[in-house]
Amino acid sequence: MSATRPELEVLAAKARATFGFSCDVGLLEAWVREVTSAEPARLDPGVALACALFHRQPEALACFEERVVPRVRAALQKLGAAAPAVDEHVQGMRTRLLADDHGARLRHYRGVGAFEAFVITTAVRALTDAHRGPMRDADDEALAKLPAAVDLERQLARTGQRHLFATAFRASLAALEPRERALLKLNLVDGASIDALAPLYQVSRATVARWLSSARQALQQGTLARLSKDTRLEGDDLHGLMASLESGFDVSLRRFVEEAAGPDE
Amino acid sequence: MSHPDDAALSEYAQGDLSGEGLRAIEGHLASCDACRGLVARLLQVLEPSRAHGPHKGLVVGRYVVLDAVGAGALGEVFSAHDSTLERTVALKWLYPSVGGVDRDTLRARLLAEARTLAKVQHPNVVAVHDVLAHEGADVIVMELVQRARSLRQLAETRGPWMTTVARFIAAARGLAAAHQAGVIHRDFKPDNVLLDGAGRVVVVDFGLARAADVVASPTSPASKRSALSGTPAYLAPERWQGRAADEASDQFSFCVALFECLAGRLPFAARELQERQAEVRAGPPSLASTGVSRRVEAALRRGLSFEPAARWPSMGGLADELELALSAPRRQQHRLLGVGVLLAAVGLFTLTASRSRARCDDADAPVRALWTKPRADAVRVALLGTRHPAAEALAPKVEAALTRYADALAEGRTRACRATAFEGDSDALLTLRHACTSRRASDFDALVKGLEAADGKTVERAVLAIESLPPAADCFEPASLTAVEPMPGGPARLAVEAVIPRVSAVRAMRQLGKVKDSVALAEAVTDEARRAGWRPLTSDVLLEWGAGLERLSRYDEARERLVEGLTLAVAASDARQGFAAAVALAYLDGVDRQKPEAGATWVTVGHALGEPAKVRGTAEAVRLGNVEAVMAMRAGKAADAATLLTALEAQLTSAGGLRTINGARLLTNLSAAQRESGRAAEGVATAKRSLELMESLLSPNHPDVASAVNNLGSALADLGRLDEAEPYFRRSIALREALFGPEALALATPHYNLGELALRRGDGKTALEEYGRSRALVEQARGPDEDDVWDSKMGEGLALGLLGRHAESLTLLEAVWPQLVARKLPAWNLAQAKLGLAASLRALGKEPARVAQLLREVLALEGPRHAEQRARAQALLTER
Repeated sequence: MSATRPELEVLAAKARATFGFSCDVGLLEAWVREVTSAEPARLDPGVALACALFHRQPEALACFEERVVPRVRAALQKLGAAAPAVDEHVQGMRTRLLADDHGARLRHYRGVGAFEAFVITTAVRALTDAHRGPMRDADDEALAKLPAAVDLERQLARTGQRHLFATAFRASLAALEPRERALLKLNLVDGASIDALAPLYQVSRATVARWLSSARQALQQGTLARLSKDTRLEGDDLHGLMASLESGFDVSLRRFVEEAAGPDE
Repeated sequence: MSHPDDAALSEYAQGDLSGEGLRAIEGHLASCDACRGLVARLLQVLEPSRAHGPHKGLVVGRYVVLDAVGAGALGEVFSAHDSTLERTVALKWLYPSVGGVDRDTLRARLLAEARTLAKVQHPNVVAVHDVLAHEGADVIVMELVQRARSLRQLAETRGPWMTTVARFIAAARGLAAAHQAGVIHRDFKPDNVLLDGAGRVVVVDFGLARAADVVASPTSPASKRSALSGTPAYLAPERWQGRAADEASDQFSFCVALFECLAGRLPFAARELQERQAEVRAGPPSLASTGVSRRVEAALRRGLSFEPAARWPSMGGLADELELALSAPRRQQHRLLGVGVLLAAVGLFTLTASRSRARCDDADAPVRALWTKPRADAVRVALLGTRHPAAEALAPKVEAALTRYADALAEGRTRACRATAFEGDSDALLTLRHACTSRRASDFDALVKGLEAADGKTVERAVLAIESLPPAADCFEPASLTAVEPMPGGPARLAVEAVIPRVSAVRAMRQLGKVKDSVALAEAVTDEARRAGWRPLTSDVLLEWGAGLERLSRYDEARERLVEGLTLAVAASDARQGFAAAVALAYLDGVDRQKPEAGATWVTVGHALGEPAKVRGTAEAVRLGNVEAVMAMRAGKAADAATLLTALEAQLTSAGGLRTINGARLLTNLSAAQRESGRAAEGVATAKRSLELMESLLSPNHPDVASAVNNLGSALADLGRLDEAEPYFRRSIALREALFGPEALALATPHYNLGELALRRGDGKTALEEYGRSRALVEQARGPDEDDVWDSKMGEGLALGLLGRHAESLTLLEAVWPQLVARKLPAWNLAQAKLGLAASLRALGKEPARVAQLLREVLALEGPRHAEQRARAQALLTER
């Protein structure tokens, strides 16, 4: 969807109201056409700031320092980075965003959400990378090596079928929808609260809680179904297994998901 | 694997992603720990973009969001205040983005279905009011089902199986209506059927199917997600195989749900596809141990057939069968119930009384909503705005009468709810009772609408119109409700329900004096009612049409409508309506068309239709009595008429209906009959009571009061108390002049009466003036060819005779004579004419033989009423 001239005028006016200046409307037109396909009316005025920064307008650079950088610093501090690290990552962010390749990364900002948020993301990524080393793909195979949960493990160990739990669990986890897996892990492994997750989907916390609980239930039932099919347990043993699974599942779930998602050991 | 860029992660963390972009990043985050870790950190430092999600206080169009009340698979539900209509509604907020390949398609379909559902107005289907878009999210505005409990919750406290079946029948009707509109439910289960505080069964969550329904797995959805969704328990076998939902699969789910609520367990338990298919093929287990009738069980078995084609052809068909199954065993069942069960029922009553009462607290809400303070204010303002002289006195009476009627309706609904909630009355009876009060409420609403647009005519007719509303209490009587042809189910019911308010409008117009409008509308509404196909309603509007035509003196057309209305009422076993039709016909033929034989036939038909015990003391019964009395008086049997009306008065008094306009009119007629039968003193007393009643029910300056005043004057005059009579006639003139102006036709009668008075006092001059004035008014208003003109001319003739102007007198009397004879004038009046004619002929020395004949005829009259006339005739004869 290409923006009309009046839409661009409105966007520029919004930018002037927010930042005190705007990118020239002619430049803005080309910029918007290049960076975004979002609905013009919903574009954040930050897109004009990005445009002005790309074109090295002095007031834009000043605005960046006065308005954006302090928020980046605050975010990094909140995440526990020490002062020297904050300075380092802010500088790294400046370089990546404004200097490298003549500010080409500014084009990644599509005018959806706040420009500051985009800049913070760039900085937080730098911080995260520094802590964790290079990004890697997740390895769910780690699950296979994990010890089983408390009672369950004992039940299965007695019959020498301990490994079956991990297998069943992994299969059930894989059977979840991507959203359910993502949310479950964000919540249980990364500690994102329900309150933090709700805005991602523009839903109430109750809804996120319900999604999580239904994902957890699906995981539990799926694991149970697979186990009852795969194990050679019968009679009391099977009942015991089911009972322990149902009662202790939430405890073990957290451990399993966490461990399944944790770093290699 | 390529990782999302900073912009994408930032957008996700602020809640700005939707559709494809959101699905892509979710898929990535499900397996990429690093990016997820980054998002988790961003969540700690980034603010959510905007509060675009629903939250308390958010204004969406005319709705203000209140509280979250629940969530479905595709959206959240909030209560909200509708600021325009001042009511609470539910807003179903569809998630702007939901993962899964075909979710967008699903959403589009949901919206389309919501729009379709909005057109389905069925009491057993949750009402969809509107579909809105708010900042990219779709919002469905729906009825908020108040104080609801699901059939799942109700099934936990197992009641009588018949109650369960009755509730499911209502749900089936709702489902059938949705099917008719092209909406498939897809997720029917006991949780999705609610019983609201008023005892209404409502099917909810239409189309809120899961993504799995659209992205149906070709192999085995059960092995994948059965545990999570829980719903596969209700899924038809063909849906397990991946086929799309349709009416037949809804029917299967319905039958699973009903089976579950009756048996306390699901009919099919297998979780694996193969096993499940085999189980369904084998059919559900027996319900024998539950006491459910075989016919219900057979109906369920058919609905649970493996092959869709083997099930019932439609939900409506299944509902009909269940209804029949329910009505068949009921009597038997009751006979089997012994004392033990009765005692148990009493115990249950004590235990659940408080809870059940609370449950019926809202039963009257739909009626209460019709009569609110603002509406009462609007009616009062409209009445006063007419500047009718009686408006000020009538407005509070109109308001009180409307309030009484609304209270009676509300009380009826609560009573009906309680009767079913814990006095053991069936849900089917509750449905009938509510349907009946709904019709009454529709009449009430139409009348209030008419009053809100009041003019002078409306003011005068308001009290009687309210009084003429069909009694609210009738709606409780099981016998009269169950006997009548039931309202059709399914889509036909929608059509019927659409016509009901139209019939009410026809009725209200006529009652409020807009007869021509009423008749014009009745024609169209009759067609609509015929198409809707529920005969009691067609009969109803035909009777209204006929009554309107009767008021316009279009008697032949009126008769045609009334006869058809009667025929339909009888065909539909609607005795009450049939009785009303017979009464209207008796009046039309017996009184309007002056065909006593035909009138008598209808009276007989009326008596045959209206079982005496049921119609005793009703307005129709009084009307029938009045018709009989008028015909008796016309036939010269005033004494019979008086006896009949006295008996009616006693009935009406014991039914508590005497203090009504109808009662006052009965007294008016009784007074006339008493006077006519020579009981003048009683006639005066009765006329006084009638006047007092009118004055207290209406206002002192109401036209009906002016009539009653005039009638009392006539009664006094009959008794020879001429001096007492005169002020009443003058008061009647004053009242009518104030109401209608000095040239009004209504003044003709009291002027005529003053003429009579003067004549009897021997004051020829005044008599000539008053008769002349009366005649002029009638001629001016209706032309010269009118009975009232002949009557006045006769009076003028007699007055001229009194003044000794015999030639003029003779000319006038001879001119009107043929008219007087042809009209079968009351004997007394005719005798007066004969005496006058004889006197003038005699004075002019003309036709002695005719004079002798006329006088002999007068002398032959019997009874005390004619004593004076006989004496005068004798005197004229002997003068010779």
